[in-house]
Amino acid sequence: MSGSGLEIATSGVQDMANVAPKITREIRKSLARRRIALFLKLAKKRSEAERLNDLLGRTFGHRLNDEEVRRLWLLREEQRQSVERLLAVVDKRRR
Amino acid sequence: MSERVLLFVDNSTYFCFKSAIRGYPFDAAVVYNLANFTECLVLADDIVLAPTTAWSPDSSDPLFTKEPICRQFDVSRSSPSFLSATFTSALDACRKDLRSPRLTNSGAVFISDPAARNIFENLGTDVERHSDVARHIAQYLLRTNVALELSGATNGQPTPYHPYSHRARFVATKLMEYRLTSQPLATMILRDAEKLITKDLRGLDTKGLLSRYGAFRNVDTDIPLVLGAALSGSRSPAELVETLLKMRKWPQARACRKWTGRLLTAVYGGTLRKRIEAERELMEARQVLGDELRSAIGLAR
Repeated sequence: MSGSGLEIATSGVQDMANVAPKITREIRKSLARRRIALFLKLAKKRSEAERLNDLLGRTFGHRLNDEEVRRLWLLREEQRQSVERLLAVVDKRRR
Repeated sequence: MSERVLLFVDNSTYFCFKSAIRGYPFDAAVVYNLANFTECLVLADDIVLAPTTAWSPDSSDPLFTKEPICRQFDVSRSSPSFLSATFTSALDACRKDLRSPRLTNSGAVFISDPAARNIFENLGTDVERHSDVARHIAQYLLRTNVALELSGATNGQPTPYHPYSHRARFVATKLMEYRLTSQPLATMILRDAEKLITKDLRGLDTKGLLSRYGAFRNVDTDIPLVLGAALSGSRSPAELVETLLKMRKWPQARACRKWTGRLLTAVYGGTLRKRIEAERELMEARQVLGDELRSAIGLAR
């Protein structure tokens, strides 16, 4: 291979090496997007939705009062925090 | 090892779902359990209910009969040695729980359970309303610990356990000590998404004119994703079931279950390399979800 040919090939390989991680990242991102498509779809529907109580009222014919809404929020917050605490404990043990 | 996503739920969670569908009045606990059960219907391939002699599935319930999604844990198919080991461990855990402060933190759950009252009143249960406190505590502990033991053994792989509203805190504190089976991976991502949306919406709310004058009730922004989406597509309780079954068949839901099943298999039974790759996939998914939602809501990273 001539000197210039070698240089071109070397530079091509270098370019590819520079681009490859980017392509890999994009492929992985696109794969991840496909895996979480459900959550994005749900989130879109959720953002289109009215407030929970309006939805409950429309479907079931009755609603939660203010006190019950607050209780529901606390229950879910507790569930969310317990998952976070649980994951933190597991991560710590793994380390 | 199966790559299907199995979830273990309390019978009471299912009763709450049925109670709401039948149009009984509900409270916060019923809606909480309804939200959890609807999530399970979309995120899991199979839902396993705790074994009991007090109740058996209604043959007209499509969730158990037509393309069944739910099934009761069948004790008769388990070997005597398995059952002996399960109950021995559960009783041992009950004894330890009796000495633990976390039991007293669980408060009034032993005596009253308004969330599922409508169903329980027509059901022959082992613990009657007038039974003494000790018997309620014993039943509560035994049922919870048996559920935890069985969730570790269904189909030969750990099965995430979704405790009923009255057990959630107690189970979470127990699990913090030794296990990672309280939430499946998909539910964890769902909580991420809800948290992000709620947090960002709250951020937006506080900037609004109404919020500054105290007119905005931000507790209402916490809509469970699956329940919110299902309710927005339903005009009646009967339609809610149809909507959920349709959502379950969405290509996105199928893809998510398939991925979650593969991740669970890798996490619990795969080689170290597969486990590392699974963790990486999970991290990427959470990060991409965060980015996409922020961009959808119109917030910069």
